[in-house]
Amino acid sequence: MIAHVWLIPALPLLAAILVSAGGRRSARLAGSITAGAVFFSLIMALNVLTGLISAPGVEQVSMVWLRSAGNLSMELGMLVDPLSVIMLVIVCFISLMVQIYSLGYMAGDQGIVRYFSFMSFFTFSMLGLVLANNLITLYMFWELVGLSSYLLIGFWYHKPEAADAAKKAFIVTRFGDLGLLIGILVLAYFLNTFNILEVGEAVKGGQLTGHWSTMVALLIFAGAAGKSAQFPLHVWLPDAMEGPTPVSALIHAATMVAAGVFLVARLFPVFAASETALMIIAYLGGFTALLAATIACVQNDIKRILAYSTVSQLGYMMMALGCRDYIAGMFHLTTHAVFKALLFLAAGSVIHAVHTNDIRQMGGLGPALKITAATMLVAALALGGIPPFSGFFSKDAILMGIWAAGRMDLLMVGIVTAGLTTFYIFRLWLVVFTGRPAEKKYQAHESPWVMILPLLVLALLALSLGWLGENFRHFLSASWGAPSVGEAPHHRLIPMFALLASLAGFGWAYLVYFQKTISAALLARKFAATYKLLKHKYYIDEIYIFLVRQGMFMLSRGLAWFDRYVVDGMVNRIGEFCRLAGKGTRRLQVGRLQAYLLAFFLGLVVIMVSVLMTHPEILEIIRSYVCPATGRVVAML
Amino acid sequence: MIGWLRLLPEIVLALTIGGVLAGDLFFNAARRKWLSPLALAGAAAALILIWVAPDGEFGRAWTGDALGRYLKTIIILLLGLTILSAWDFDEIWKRPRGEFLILLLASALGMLFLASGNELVLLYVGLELTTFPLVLLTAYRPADAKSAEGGLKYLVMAAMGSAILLFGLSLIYAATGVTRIPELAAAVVQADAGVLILLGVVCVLAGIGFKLALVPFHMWAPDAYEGAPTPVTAFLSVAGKIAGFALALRLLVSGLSAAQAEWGQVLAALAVASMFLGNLAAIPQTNLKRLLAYSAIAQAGYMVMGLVAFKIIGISALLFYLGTYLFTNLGAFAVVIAVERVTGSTDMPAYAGLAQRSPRLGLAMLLALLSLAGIPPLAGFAAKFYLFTAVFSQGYVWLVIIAVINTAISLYYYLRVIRVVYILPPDKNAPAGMPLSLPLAMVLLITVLGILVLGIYPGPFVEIARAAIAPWF
Repeated sequence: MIAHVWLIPALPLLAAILVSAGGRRSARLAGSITAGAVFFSLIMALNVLTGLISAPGVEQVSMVWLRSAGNLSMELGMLVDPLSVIMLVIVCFISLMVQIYSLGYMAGDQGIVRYFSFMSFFTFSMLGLVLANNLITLYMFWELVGLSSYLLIGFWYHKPEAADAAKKAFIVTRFGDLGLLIGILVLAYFLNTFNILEVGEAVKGGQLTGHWSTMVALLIFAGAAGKSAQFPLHVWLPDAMEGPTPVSALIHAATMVAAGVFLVARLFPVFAASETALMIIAYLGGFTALLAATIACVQNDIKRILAYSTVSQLGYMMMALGCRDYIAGMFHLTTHAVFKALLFLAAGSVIHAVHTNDIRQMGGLGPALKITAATMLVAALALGGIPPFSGFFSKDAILMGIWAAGRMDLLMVGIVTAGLTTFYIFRLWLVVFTGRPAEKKYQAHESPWVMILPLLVLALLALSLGWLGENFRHFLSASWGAPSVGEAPHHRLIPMFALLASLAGFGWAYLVYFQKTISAALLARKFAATYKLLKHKYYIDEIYIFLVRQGMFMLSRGLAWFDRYVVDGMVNRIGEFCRLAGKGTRRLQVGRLQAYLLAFFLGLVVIMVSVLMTHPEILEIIRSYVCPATGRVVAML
Repeated sequence: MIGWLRLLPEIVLALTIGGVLAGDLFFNAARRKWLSPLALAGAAAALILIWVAPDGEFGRAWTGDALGRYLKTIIILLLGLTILSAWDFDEIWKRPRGEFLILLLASALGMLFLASGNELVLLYVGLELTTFPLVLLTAYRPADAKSAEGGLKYLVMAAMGSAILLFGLSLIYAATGVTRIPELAAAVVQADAGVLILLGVVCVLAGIGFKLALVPFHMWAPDAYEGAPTPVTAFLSVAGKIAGFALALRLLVSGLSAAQAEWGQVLAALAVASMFLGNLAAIPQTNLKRLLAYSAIAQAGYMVMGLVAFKIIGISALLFYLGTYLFTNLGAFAVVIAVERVTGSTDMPAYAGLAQRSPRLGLAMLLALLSLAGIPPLAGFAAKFYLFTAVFSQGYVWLVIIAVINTAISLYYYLRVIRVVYILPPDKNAPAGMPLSLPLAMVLLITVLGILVLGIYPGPFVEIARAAIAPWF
């Protein structure tokens, strides 16, 4: 079974190649081919999962790719353990749902072939990423995932916003990726291996300690923070919403943005070796969770609200990882993948019906979009952490992990964020689906069944996935072992507090946006400064632009001078030299046969003389032959 | 009897030559179309026989061993791919149909003997049998001054190269009194006449340098490459390398390993000169065939570093490089052939916007050139990686630094072609479609697959190369 694991990523790749090779001709079939490929991948992934549940273990299939003269070798390989298999199933499943949904959502788009081949290529890259058994392969797929994300954000490249957003996403994540690459190389320098299992063993065996371990962990975390949109690299994700909505659901909600969380879990021993790094990750995660949740409360673009929500929830997961409970983080990743994908797909269904992203122009859509409204409600309840929906259980697991790690301040952050989360998601739901229809008249109608079906399936899972809880924890602990501090007694009050916060958030949203006993406009005026601050997302983008303009451009101007006159000068000289040398060497090739023969002979003579010069004893022999002879000749004369 | 079985691949190829000759005589024009398939079938049979024929010596002059098998596999692959790429290349079929195939097969047969030659005279005869059909093929284009010029230059230089080589061989014989390679290896150690052997080695190096087109023995290459019909150029570009290195492996590595210090130094100098001259002179070229000729000179410079590094690690890296070079270079030439068939030109402007006119050809050209430049994950990268680490591990750090600098220089002209193919707009008068004949499409597919497979998963092939040379060390 393990031997065939490579087929799981290979099928989507094959489909991507097939579809793009078909060109225009495959327009009608493109979606069916790629969705079919990922369907078979999903079946195989489930097969591997059940196999691993009945017979737990860690296996790898690997081949040496390049072996350098030392012991360090680069492999291409796959690691099959609970962690990777869970990710496999998530990626295949969400990808399948999103691609089925896209059959309806993207119907009639000019670039439909490109769309599905990119989607399939993304699925391949993501599957390769989660399966990687060594850091080089992982990094390669990490970049491929980034590339597919870039291509899909800029899918409608004729829109300047989409093209800009694609560039922004690529450049911002690049900062993190650079850290990741340096981290990998430093790690390999110390441990002399790229293999993830060997890295884990070596670090557990104490081969990497002290400042270096903190540095390596933070460098790798930089990559994770870039992909998972953690402060201060979170700015690209909201802009990435310029891509088609199913893309946002798959890449920017469920899978790729979770890659950072996965990376930390994958290399957990490296992080566990440094208490400082864990603390930084935990607090950065908490800060991001709170920051993004507050911003989400005042946004009006339906997709941006969800984007900030994603940033916030990823911060939540990072908090868990920073408190050593990587299993809780992965559990929340799993439930979040389902309900956040559902939220996005439902939002897409709304956008499909009313052709706008602005929630102020929606309203009273509930009766027209019954199934969309109902499934989105399930997702909202799951995100809000209301029992018995899945989000409640995974959020509870994270809070328990934080409690067990003894970080009371972070626990408070978690609970407050939970309240804010419920507020903004019900603000969204209530504004869109209840109340009076906005003045603009539109013929809202329910989406076609290919779009509704994935919504229903996802809603069922968003409802039920939480009950896996303990089984999930047990299954996953086969990867790196159970977290060392995860066994503290379950504290009953914590879920109570979290639930109370959630209910408060819900109540507030209910009063403001349903009963309208409190006027939203009045609140905005009363707290004008805060409102403005949140509305402008803490001016982080503006600060970056300022920093880039003032700081970096100033530096750039200095460097530009240096570059133009010193570096370029040198390069130009070298380039000129090369071109002149090229012209000169061409002139050597005169075309006359005599010259060729002359060069041949001169070369031969020069080589002979220089070889003989290095052998003085031979020169001596020659002289002894030649000198008497010349002497005799001279004497004869 | 068993001895003849060892010679089966050579026998089959010789019989194929006879068959093509007879067919050319007795077939009518329509039936002569079957000569190419016949030659291809002969090559395929030889390929199979190479791997089933038993090892061992035949007479005193010929030996079948792992190294021979490795080289012969590359030779027959080269032969088959060349027959395929010439399949629909009408220019060469204007002459009697069998002529081209016979010359091609004869040259390949010569290389087979080179790969197995275990004696000075057989090696020399094998080299001549390889070279002279190539001279004729270079001058094969009727009514084309360039072809005649290239052929004549090649002829004179080849005669010169052979003469010097033969002189070197006779000096070595004079010093040792033996012609068999295994006995030579023992005799060189005992021989007292250092000066004769040294002079002999230098002459042999010149002869090998001529085949490999190493500076300063390279002058014939650009003219011959440009003048020859393009499928011949493709064959020539790889055949020269195989013949040169087969000779070097049998003569230098096996026979004269005692003098490695001497010929290693000389080859290092030739490598540096070839890399610099090849890469720099390629920059201003505007004709693809000439550009690839200079590129081939530079590539020979890289490969020779494997001989300089010596030891199992250096030679196996060289053998692997040779295998990747087969696919990479033939891939590039297959695109040149495809473009020439439609546009009739091999100059740079004919390639403007090629990627738009034919995405398949554009992609093949991109992969082949990037592989030549050594970009991962393509075959050329894996080959350079193994070669450079081998040279590095033997302590020639300065040589690796020079090779890396040269790799950077080479990127310039490879990327210049890619720029023309991908970025420049196609000429308005250029034909819109680029029809691709089936045999040529097969060549492109095989070479591109080779470039990708050898680049992504070189491990087992490196092991084969290692096993081929392992018995010697």
